[in-house]
Amino acid sequence: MSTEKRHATEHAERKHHSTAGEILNTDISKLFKRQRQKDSVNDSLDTSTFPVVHKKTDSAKPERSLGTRIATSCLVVLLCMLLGFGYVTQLRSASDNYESLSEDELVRLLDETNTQVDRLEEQRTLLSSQVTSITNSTDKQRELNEVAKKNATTSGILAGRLACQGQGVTITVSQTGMPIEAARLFTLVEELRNAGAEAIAFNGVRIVASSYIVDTDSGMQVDGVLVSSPYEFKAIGDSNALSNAIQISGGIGSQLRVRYNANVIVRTQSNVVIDELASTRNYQYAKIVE
Amino acid sequence: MTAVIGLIVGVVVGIFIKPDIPIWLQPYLPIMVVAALDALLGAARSYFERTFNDRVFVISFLSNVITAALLVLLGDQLGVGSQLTTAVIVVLGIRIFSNVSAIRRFIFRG
Repeated sequence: MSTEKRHATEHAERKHHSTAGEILNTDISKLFKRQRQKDSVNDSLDTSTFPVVHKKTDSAKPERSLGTRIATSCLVVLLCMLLGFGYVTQLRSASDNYESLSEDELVRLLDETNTQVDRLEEQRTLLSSQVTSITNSTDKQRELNEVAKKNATTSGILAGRLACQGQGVTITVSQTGMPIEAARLFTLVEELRNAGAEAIAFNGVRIVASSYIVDTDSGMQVDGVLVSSPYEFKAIGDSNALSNAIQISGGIGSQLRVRYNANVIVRTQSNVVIDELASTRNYQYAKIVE
Repeated sequence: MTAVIGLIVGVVVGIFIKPDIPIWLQPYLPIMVVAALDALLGAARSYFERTFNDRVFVISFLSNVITAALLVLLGDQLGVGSQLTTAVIVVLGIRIFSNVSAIRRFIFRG
């Protein structure tokens, strides 16, 4: 039975005409009424059966197209790939940072690191103090070396092992007839020493602490070397003091002039070169005190 | 089958590419991996139950991952990030265990 027909008959039955809303209302109320009737039949316990609810059959599912299925399976593969990728990535990153460690482990790690730092600091202090002491000792060694070098220079000049030059005087004593005694010339050397002469040479012989001047049968000898007039002295020192020591009235210069009638010429010079060297001697008895 | 192939390919790619994870992703990646694992095991279970649906799998996979990441993000913003991470891991762990036991029942019939 079509609804159109029923509606038509209903219309016929009704005497009064109504609006569309009223029609809808009556329809819905009828629909509910009919449903209630159906439900009461279904729920009636007389039949002693429960209403059967049919399971939706597979045919109810809409069949998907081939393209959709391929797309979804591709998506499945993609998602699984993402899972594997993420897993491996996380595996790698978790192994090399401290994020995965617990607080206790981190504290322990920190403590260990601090201890190590302390130990290294200690070691550093020790090593730097060693460096300082070594540097000091090398400095001291260098100082000692310098002092020794200076001493060597001083004593080299003193001992006549080094040639030297500087301001000083040259003294020429020429003998005129009367022979001059060696003792007089030695006095001259002594005067020069007293006046602060630092290096003295006499006729090509370096005068040192152990030098001697003696008269022998063959003539005057200085350290075993024969010398004769004119006697030439070279002395390095304060040239004024040296020349004064010789020229002073009543000094050795005037003594030589008066007693021996000798010519004594004293020339002060700004640069006297003494390149005569004393022969080194081997000390037989004197030993160095260690 | 496609899932297993995808998994293997992903692992191999991860091994050979050696990517650097961006720093903002670092707290979320492990959670996302665990969530995805849960979805995968759920899919395996439904496969054994003959109710596997690839569309459902895709949706559950994505929703699992996104939900887990968002939860951790929320926890980070509220200052309980590590606790919430633990909670998410625990829940996902329980689900993984139940899924695995269901699969085991299907395979060994008991």
